Amino acid sequence: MRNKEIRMPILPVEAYYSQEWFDLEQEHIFGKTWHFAGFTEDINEPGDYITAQVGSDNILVIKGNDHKLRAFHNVCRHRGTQLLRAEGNERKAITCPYHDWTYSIEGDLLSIPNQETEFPNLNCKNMGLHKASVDIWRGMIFVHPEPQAPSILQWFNGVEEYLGPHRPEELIEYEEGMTEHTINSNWKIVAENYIDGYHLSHLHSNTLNMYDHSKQESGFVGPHYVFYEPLEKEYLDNLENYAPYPLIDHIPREQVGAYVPLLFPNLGLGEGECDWSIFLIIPIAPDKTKVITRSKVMNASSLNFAKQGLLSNAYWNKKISGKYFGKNSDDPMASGDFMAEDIFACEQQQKSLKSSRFFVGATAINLEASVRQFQQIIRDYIPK
Amino acid sequence: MSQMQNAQVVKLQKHGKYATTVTLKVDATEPIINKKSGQFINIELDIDGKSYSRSYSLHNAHKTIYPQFTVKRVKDGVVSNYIFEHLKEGDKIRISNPNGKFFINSDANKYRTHYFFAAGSGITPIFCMINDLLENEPHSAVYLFYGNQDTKQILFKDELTNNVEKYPNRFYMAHALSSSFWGASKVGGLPAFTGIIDKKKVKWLFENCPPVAQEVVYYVCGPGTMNTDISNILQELDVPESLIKMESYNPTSSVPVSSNGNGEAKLLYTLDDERWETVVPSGKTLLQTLKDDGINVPHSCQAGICGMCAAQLKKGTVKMGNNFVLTDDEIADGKILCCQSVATSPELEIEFDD
Repeated sequence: MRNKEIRMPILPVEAYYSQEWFDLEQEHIFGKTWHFAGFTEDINEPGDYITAQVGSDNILVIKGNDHKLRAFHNVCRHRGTQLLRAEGNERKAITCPYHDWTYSIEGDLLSIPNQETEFPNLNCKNMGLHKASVDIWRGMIFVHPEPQAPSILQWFNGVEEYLGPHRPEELIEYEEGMTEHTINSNWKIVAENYIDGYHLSHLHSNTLNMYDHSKQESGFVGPHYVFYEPLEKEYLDNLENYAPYPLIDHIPREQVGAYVPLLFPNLGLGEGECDWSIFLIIPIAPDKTKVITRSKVMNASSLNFAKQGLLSNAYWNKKISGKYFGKNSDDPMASGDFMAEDIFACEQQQKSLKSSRFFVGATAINLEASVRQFQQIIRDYIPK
Repeated sequence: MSQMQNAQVVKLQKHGKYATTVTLKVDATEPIINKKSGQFINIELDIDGKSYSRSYSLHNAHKTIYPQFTVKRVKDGVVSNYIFEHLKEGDKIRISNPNGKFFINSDANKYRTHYFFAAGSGITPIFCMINDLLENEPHSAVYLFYGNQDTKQILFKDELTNNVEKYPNRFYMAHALSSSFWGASKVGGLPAFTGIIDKKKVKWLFENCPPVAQEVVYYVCGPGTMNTDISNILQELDVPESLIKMESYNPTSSVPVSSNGNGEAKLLYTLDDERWETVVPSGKTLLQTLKDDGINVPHSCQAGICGMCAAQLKKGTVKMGNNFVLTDDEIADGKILCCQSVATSPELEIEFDD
């Protein structure tokens, strides 16, 4: 029998496959923190709304005619039906599709069909939608399941000085940067992979080699992981010609590099020299995780993009390749795509967790310190 | 609470033919403490042997021995024209401590969006609030819609324009000019629209300056019906009434209500934990009655604006004139403004808050 005390190295191995741990995390981490819900431009017009899955809660965010956002739990007070679908526009009111109970944009219950005969004693005043919290930070909409959430400034206190000088609200999203992957591993394996500084030179030896991993700097600000590494010399020296897209114009030369934080618990950012992206890690089941990426670039003409692509194409063709030269063209390790390499590594690790011989032999003193600290933070969130 | 102290005029600065900025120095060694930007002081001036009292919003948001305020000239206004034409550096006047309920508490840890709607001299408390927020609430944004008759009337035009340049990501404003012949144009490089601040303009502001920080507060200060008009527009645009803060700014602060009470009334009142009794003559306000009795009741503007003389009505009924302070809920709970209340029942009992 395998030893029950196996640790990863801080959290017990069960934390990566048991439903019990999954539920505890949903309640104590995802139910009590701020979460990415979208970019500000996802909700443009009054009445526009989006929904976000935050742990077990679905939160809707809707814009009023005052252009202020309101957040509610997406649950009808009648029989609990989910009110709104993923995105859309409800200019005047929020109506439940099931029995047409209707709420104002402030969440007050406005009308109930056949109220006089069917609900003569129901007090509408006590039946408003459950409020959640919403705020905007760095061009992103964040929600919190609690109505009186601690301030978002407090939550991200001190983080900003370790992020890039990027102004994401001035950049524009491009369609190819929008991806969705389902990964067969626990969400923490994906998160730990995101903050593991040790694997960069190895798993991604031929895909992330435009960065100088030997000069990486990282640490934690509260529960949030922050990371920076400069560009590799040849790339930096020829940046104007080798950058695949037009360079982001508001980054001073001495600050160029990759800023790759993981905002607790599950939002990775990738802030680079010519693109800015999010990496959202959504737990689906103990061994299933959805990752959504969205990317932004300079608001430049397609001609400029084409020119920059032509200039840099030869460099990247030579620079980037698979780690292994597999015969099989769909081998992630031969793909030359770092995302495919990461997904492969995460799934391979998940597969071993229940092995009778599974054991974490040792972790790197420096380059895997982040993994240990992340696990300690998770540990601290879960009541003993 | 509203004791008067002596002050000396140390500087007078005229803005064209329209306004005067007065800088005083208080005589006492103790600075006056303007705890909350947006508050005003009362000044007392003797003009031609008569004593006049007016309220002016302070520019200084902090502790100071140099309180400063700006007075816009009002047609036929005794005090504003006296200040413009006759007040001299070195003159002595009497002033009260700052008070009033229209203010903000700036807070460096807050992350808020503040929308201001001002017209005419209604800018004076708002100017102070905006400066305080820009200096002391670094994460928050401030937006202003500012109405005037024409470009010559715009108080603090340069200071506000400079703030837009100084705080490019945190402050923006637009003008509304009610008697301008021209269509949308610019004042100091900033958008200027024709007409008063109406729904279309408010929508324009929200569309072009949407709130980033989602804790949002709305402040309105102007003359006449502006406050209720803007408040109604905001509510039509989904703003909850509870987030709208207003102060009425009429060019001359009207002094006591003329009202017809229903005969004299016996008044029982509790002040500083002691109970007293007096008689209120028909049509006289409760505040005036107590003042005539030589009682030192907290009060300031005597125009239903500042809220200093608020009391709790325990028994009887009153009729109130102006009220720019108490909410409907407070009135329903029996709060009254003594300076605006005349008795409408033969017996009254009131209690002053501590």
